[in-house]
Amino acid sequence: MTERQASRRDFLAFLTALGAQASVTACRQTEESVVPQVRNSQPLTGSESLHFATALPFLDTALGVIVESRDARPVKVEGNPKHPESLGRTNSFAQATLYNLYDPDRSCGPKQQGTSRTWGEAQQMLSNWAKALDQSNGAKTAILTDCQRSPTMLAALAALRKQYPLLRVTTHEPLEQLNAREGASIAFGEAYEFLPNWGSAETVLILDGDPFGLEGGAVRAAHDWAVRPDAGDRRTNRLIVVESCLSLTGSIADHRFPCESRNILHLVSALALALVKQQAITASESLLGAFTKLVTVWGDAKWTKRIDVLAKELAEKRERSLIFVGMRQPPLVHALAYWLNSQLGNLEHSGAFWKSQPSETGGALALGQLATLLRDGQVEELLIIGTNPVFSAPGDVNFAGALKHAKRSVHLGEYYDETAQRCAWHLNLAHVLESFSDVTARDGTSSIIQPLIAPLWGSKTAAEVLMHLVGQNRSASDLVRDTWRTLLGADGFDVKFRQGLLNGTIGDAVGAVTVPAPDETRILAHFAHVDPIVPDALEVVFVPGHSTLDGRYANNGWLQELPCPITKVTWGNPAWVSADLARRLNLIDGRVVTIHANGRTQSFPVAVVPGQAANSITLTLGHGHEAFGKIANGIGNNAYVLCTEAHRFMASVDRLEVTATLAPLARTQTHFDDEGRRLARESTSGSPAAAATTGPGNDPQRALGPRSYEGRAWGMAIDLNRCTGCSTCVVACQVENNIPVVGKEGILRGRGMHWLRVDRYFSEHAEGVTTMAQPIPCQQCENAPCETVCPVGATAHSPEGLNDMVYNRCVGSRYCANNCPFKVRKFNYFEYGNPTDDLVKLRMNPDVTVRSRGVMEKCTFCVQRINDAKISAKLHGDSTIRDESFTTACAQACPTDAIVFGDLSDPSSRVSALRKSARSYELLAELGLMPRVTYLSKIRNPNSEM
Amino acid sequence: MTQAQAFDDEFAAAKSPPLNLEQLSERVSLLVERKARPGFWLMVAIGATVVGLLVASLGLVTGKGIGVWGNDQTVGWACDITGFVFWIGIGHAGTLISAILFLFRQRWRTTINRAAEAMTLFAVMAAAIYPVFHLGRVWLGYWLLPAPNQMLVWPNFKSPLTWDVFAISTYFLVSVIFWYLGLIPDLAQLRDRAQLGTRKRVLSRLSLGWNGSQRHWQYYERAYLTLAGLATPLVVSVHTIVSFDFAVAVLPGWHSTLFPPYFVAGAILSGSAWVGALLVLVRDYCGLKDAITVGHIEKLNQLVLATGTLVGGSYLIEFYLGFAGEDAFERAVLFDRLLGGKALAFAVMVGCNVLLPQLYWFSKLRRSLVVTVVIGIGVNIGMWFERYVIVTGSLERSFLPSTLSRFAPTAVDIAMLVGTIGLFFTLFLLFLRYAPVLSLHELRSDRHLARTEIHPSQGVAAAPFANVEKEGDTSDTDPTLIFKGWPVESRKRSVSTSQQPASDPTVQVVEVRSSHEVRSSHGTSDGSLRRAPKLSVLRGAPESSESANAVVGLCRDLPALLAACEQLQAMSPLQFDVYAPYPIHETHRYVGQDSSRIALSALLGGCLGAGLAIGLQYYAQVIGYPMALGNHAAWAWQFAVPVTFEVAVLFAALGCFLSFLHSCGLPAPRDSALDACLTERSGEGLLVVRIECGLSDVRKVVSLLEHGNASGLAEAIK
Repeated sequence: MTERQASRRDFLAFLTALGAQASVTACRQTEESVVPQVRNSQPLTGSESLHFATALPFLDTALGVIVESRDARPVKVEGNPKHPESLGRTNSFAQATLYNLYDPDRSCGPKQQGTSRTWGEAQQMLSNWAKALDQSNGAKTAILTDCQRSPTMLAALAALRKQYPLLRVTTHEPLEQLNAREGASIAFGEAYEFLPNWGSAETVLILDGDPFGLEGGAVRAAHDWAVRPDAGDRRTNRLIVVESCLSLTGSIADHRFPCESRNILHLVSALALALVKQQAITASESLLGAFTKLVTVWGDAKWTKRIDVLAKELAEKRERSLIFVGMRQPPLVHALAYWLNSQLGNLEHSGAFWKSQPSETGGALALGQLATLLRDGQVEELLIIGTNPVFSAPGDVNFAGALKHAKRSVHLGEYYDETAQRCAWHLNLAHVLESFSDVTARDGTSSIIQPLIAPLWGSKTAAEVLMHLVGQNRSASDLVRDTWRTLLGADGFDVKFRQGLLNGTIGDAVGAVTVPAPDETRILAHFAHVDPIVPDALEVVFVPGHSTLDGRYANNGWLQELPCPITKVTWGNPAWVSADLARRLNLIDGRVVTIHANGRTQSFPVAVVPGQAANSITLTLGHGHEAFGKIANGIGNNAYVLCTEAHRFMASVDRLEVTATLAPLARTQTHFDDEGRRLARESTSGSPAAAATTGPGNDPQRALGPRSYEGRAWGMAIDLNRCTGCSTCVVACQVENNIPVVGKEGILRGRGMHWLRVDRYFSEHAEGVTTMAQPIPCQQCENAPCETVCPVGATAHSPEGLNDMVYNRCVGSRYCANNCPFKVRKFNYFEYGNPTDDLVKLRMNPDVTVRSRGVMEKCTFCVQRINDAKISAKLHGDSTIRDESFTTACAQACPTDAIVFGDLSDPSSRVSALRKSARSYELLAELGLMPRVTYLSKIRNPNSEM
Repeated sequence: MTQAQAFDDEFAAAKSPPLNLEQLSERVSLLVERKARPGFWLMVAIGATVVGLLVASLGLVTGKGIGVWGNDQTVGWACDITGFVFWIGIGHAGTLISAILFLFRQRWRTTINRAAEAMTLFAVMAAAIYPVFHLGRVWLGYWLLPAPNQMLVWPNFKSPLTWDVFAISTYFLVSVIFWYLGLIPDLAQLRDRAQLGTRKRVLSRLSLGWNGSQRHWQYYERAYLTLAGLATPLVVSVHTIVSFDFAVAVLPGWHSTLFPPYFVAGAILSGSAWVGALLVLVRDYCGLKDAITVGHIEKLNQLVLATGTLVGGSYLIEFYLGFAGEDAFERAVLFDRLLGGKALAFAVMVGCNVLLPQLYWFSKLRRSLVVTVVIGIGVNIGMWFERYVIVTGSLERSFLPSTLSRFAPTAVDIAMLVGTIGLFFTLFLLFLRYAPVLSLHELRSDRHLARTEIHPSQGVAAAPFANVEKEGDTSDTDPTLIFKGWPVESRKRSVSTSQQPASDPTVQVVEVRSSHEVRSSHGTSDGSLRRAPKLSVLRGAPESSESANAVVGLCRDLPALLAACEQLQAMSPLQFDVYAPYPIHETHRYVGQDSSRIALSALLGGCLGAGLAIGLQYYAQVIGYPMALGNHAAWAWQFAVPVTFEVAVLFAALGCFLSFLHSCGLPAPRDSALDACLTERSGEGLLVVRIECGLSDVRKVVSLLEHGNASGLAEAIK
């Protein structure tokens, strides 16, 4: 039997099961309080929305979220304002997680050698294994998990180790912050995790890192950086980024300099020397010698002045500055940064340290070592939990080959993926929204993960499976309660636990620790291992996939179709090359190159990306699955092949071969020059008015007087100063509004259907590249050009000033889209929107129409939310709708509050205030369209000396 | 085989000696009546195959979605609207030639207007496919029509697309009416030639019982003139309104007041180039070199030269406005055309539309048939690219650089274009096979007018009828007459060979009387011929004239006819009429002057249409279903102009046509008695006079006609 498809019958069965669980309170009383609601005390009625707090583990942290449930199924994920890592915001992965939950490709049951088995049989297998372990004490057994931040899971692992002392437990997490941790070990002698306080740092130097983009705590970081109480029309903080490839962080920097990743060490050394020269810091003679040696070798003249100015600024902003190093830099650079920060007095003021997670999970055994042990027969039994090492193992680890030697191999995962197919057994792991679990965020805040729906395929959580191995058959809910009963104490546990479920955070957060002063000698010792520099050699840098992360989201259509915030490429991972390299090798976008590195080869189409360091090639991880799901398979190429276990994020290129093949890139935007039209505007700090009023388009022709609106007038203000271009809003909009995915072919044909897109503009100059991101929803013009031209009047103005689209009336002439200057109207060229799969239908927002083919659709300012708010206001006898009561999906998801939505007729609303800002301007104002969306120009705060 | 061979031989033979009017008429009739030439069905089969391609493409578009074309989110219209504007443009020449040139008394149009009008209809049909099938939901396309419906919603009368619906349907319907009106007398003539059978029945139905009465001819001429007057503004309005699709939009490169005249000039350019190329092929295929002459082609080519130059001027103005102005968006679009991604298409368009027609400054090239075909096709390639550049060029480069796109057509896009060309040619081939390719009655009428120096009111005393040679000489010397009558060359040839045998008596009298059975069954003794469905026909001297109630006389030439009329008028109160396959203005004073209300009906129809249109628009927009659209007032008269105009013209044309039918009493049953005479005689160019009289008068009339009691008649007999 092949993969089972969920039918409506199955769904009803789930519903019934859920209902039964809720109603049989006599025997399973605990199940009732499993899902306390944050809002709304009504029991399951009709299609009213209920909200539940839970948390989503994400890289080295967790995002607290509130999930909206309709008809007992989760339909929307939003941030939990009470959770410090989310502050009510989300990232695109959290928004898109529903896609995975309702993914028909997800593993739908245990399998033995490809044959479907029941969980009963699987449990039998686990008990047999447990018996065998009893005898061997786990001597030849290993457990390979993904990064575990769940107290319950850690407790389960501890229990397992206690029962089988010889058991080996190790972690494979491709994007783990190993280098930072090791850097801390070098500096401080012990592994610590450093959490910068982005809200207080004034001058930040970021070296090859993306703290506001694709590193763990980006939601919180970007929010703290962008949302400052003193903001106004001036900027008080300054961001200086040096990196090899343009990141989101680099794209919002005040100064951004391209520099090959392998030269960052040299650059830090030069900076340290400059700081010493300016007597801002002190260093031992031997360390100075090491620095000098490196700088002499590097000797890049163009950096001399820059580094002096940089050092001066960092010295001036002592205790208020910060040097931050990205995850792909080697431990030594991290250690040096800790040392410099410490010398500048930044560690105390601009961040805090947490002790690293207990070492039960991390770093005990490298993947390569495990592979060797498997091959040597020292490990014969292997349980793999939630990770896909066959796909994501570094190129020098032949994990697939090693796995063949295992006598017993069990894979526990959400997908029947590359690893699952090579294991004897595969067990289906519960999706996070089906699981009862818990998670601790980076800053020590813990949350309970509670299920929003009974497991669609009867899947189990990792803790449940582990407990089978110690001979306990306990539900995940009991396990979590046990853990927390221990942590919180039995006294008043139920109340505390329930409160924790309601809040989304539980218990006291683990506190920060103080660290010892960095040790110069240990740092110095590591200078011995620095690789010699090869001038003009090409390097490859590996970055997380904006759509795949490390590969686990590869079967997520929403994310695959989410344009890369920088290159606007969807459905694939081209190699980013610099214009310089492209010129030298005569490369154009889409030209396939074969990269030889570390003795292996892989081919990628190239994308010429502005701001790329000349000799650096960037590869995105997580693409190129062979056996994962229908969406993921065959999209992009696997970049893990080229990296090594020792250097997971950098490699030097042995040879670059240009092929004759052209593989077109599926891009949603192909032209990145704003042609001097000043659509996304910016100014330097202190002259905001100039930004909004200079250049074309500031003489709005009000040929038609403003329309009078009675009652509410909805409007939106988008602050470009806060927007990082992360595109979370795009996914949020897609989820909220049932926006179809058109696939690679569709994007290649220019038929992407995002109602909200983020435009990216680059302007290249001698100092590098200035980039602008501009979210473009429907501008809701009051003089809407789309309305007049529709032959059947399918789009018209609402009394509250919205440009409404009547899908049922639309015949699809596309005239409105042609006449839309912003091109925000999207036509459904094929039957993209209407899923045939019953399971996929579950993820649809029941408040929003699913549009058929041949119909124009567009941003509605989330009119369903507006109506909901109006109804609820009416029910409560309150005619005013305040900012707090609701907002659009994009505004709600935005990590930096760049999108503000509200009632323009209410003078106290935030949007009214922002519209009056000196930075406020209309897009294409000269057309006299009177858009309801206004933009606030970006402010850059450059150092004029630099 | 043998028959076909014989027919081809006849064709071959016909190539050498020039044809006179009757031979030409015979030739045109034979084209319809004889079996098709062997190659014909092969060509139709090829055409049908290509139409199959079109049908398959439309199936894909409807079944799978618009996505089978290359359109994307930025370029919402591409080959679809390009094809639409292209075909509508071609469809301009027909009505231009038949209506505007008619009004300007450009009589050279007579040999080509039928084919040109047919071409218009088929081009409009091809054009109409695009806007219908470009809809995302074709099956709801009827929502564009102002039909009352259960949803109580109406089309948006402010949208240029709604205007298009009205403009195209009005243009098509008025063109059909105009074409059909001109076809009625010719169909009647074919009917008269036809043997009894299906063909005859079908032609009888189609010709509505037209019998060539001079009273009807008066109505016909009035109706034709009125319709020509109504169609003329349509020629200008259709492409003006089509250009509004672009001019009303805000896009750079579209939003321009230049568009209406620019589009009309372009349309006439493509239309006349297309007609020129097509007519060269038609004249060769149908053996009509004597009818469609180099002179005609040259005239068309002069039109191509004029409009091509006009279009070139429009391009210049467009660039001047763009680069002299401040609009950066406009400039970017123009720059993209000049040197950017649209440069190739732009070069093709300028080369084919502006430069190619400049060759026509040389009369040798203007008169060359090969050059006409080449340039005709070239200009139309250029005009397709012009629309392509306009439609896709502006969409590709609109306001936000982030949305820039580049359209690339798919196989289905190309199949649609090829398919519509196939459809056009298939329909045109069928037209050549089943309808008289030349307007037979207009040819005769023109000849007649030329002979009588085109002064209908001057009456009997005009120039002698039979003196062909003399006529030919005068027209040769007077260049103004050349195209009013008959093209020079063919006339010269007809002079030398028109030795028509004239052995028949000038007036042959035929008595027609009702058969006993029929009469008794109808119970009437003096019912008109028209009312009696079956009549027996007697030839020669009447033997039992008591039963007769009408007398038919056949006159060999005009003076004889007029003399007979004079005599008959003297016998007042006799009712009589003159029947001929063309209008003879000299007889008006005998048969009675036209006092029809055709023009008045057109006026009333127009007023009714305008009133209805304004009422409908006001009701829909202000009372029935008011909508807030683009901050415009619910009612704005500016927006109401196009629809009101189109509906007014449509109703005026309908009023005109219906009034014509009513005045003539058409459709009427076929008049078999008369028909029999006409069948016999029409090929001989005889004129028929029919006297309706009581039984007592029959003998008197017969003797009058036969024995020439009156002096005029006697003279004629001699």
